[in-house]
Amino acid sequence: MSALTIGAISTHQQTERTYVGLYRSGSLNTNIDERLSPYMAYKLGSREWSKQKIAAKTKVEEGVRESECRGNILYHYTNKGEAHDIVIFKEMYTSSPHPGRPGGAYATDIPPWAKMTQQELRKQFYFSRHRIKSGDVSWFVVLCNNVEPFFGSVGNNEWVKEDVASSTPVNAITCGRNAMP
Amino acid sequence: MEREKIINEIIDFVEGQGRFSERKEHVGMSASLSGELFDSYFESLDSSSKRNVAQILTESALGNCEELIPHMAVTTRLLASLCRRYGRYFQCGRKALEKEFNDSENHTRWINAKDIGYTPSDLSYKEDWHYSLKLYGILCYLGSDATDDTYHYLLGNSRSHRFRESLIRSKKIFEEWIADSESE
Repeated sequence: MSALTIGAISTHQQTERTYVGLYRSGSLNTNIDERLSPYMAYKLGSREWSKQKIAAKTKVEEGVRESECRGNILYHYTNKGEAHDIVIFKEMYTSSPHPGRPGGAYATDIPPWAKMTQQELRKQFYFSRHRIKSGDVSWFVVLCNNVEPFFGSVGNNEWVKEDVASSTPVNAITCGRNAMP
Repeated sequence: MEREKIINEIIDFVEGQGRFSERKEHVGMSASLSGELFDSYFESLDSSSKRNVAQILTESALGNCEELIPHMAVTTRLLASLCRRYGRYFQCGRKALEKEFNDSENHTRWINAKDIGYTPSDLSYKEDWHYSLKLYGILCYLGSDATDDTYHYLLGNSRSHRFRESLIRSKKIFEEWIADSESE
């Protein structure tokens, strides 16, 4: 079983390496960008991924400018519907306390154009094995950390607004698609 | 489904117990997705029970369900998300929510409300501007055409800069949501 798995990964990696090599050598038509999976686009550092990064950056900058939030920006990652709800209602469901971590609303200073995958993001901020596999972090919410009580840094790019209530007010200013594959 | 049973289910969701014990697994950033647990439960109900849940959550949002008053902020948030996904079941409460949003005595409270960083767990929650923002968002999701006058009144008269800014941001993001949903 393990040999099969290793074989499968190896074949996949080989295909991927070949593809990357052909792309970089210019043997592949660059128009192929639009048909790339987000993961391949990311691996290749292609124009498509650059477009996604620029779109996310533009959305953040526009939100910051329009909201008069001067710096102190954090990000929360969730699904599309919830991202909109957080900005519309200015409130987030909170996490229960977890070993070594307080209850409250969680955010990060890692922007949606950072060079990491959504899977890596979940691994870092979900803390629950089951959730890491299934959670949807395809959208980001921009939080302006200018309202007391503030989100406080707990290290490892992680920020928490402690609250024992089931939901807590947040100053969410905009949301958009996460550029991470 | 009986009223008391529905109220207990809602409390179980808030407390992360019973059928909603999985909510406690939604730790860290995944907590914002915990509303999906109630969505799944709601989807599993028959139409009649869905309408009963809708009625009780609407009563709760208006402060008319005594058992749920300590949890008003969460139940109103729950109502808001459910209206986004299952609006047709919640149309029965739209008129009452419009009346609450357009009540002039409420307007006086909301335009004078200060910024607070926590959520009150009693009826004073209705005096917080976050409450009016939720009513506004819920009514938008329900397709109400009776929000404009109050929206502009609050925008023009509220003392809290954050509240005014939040009204603008909410409207903009709601419009983006509609545009995005229509293009899909």
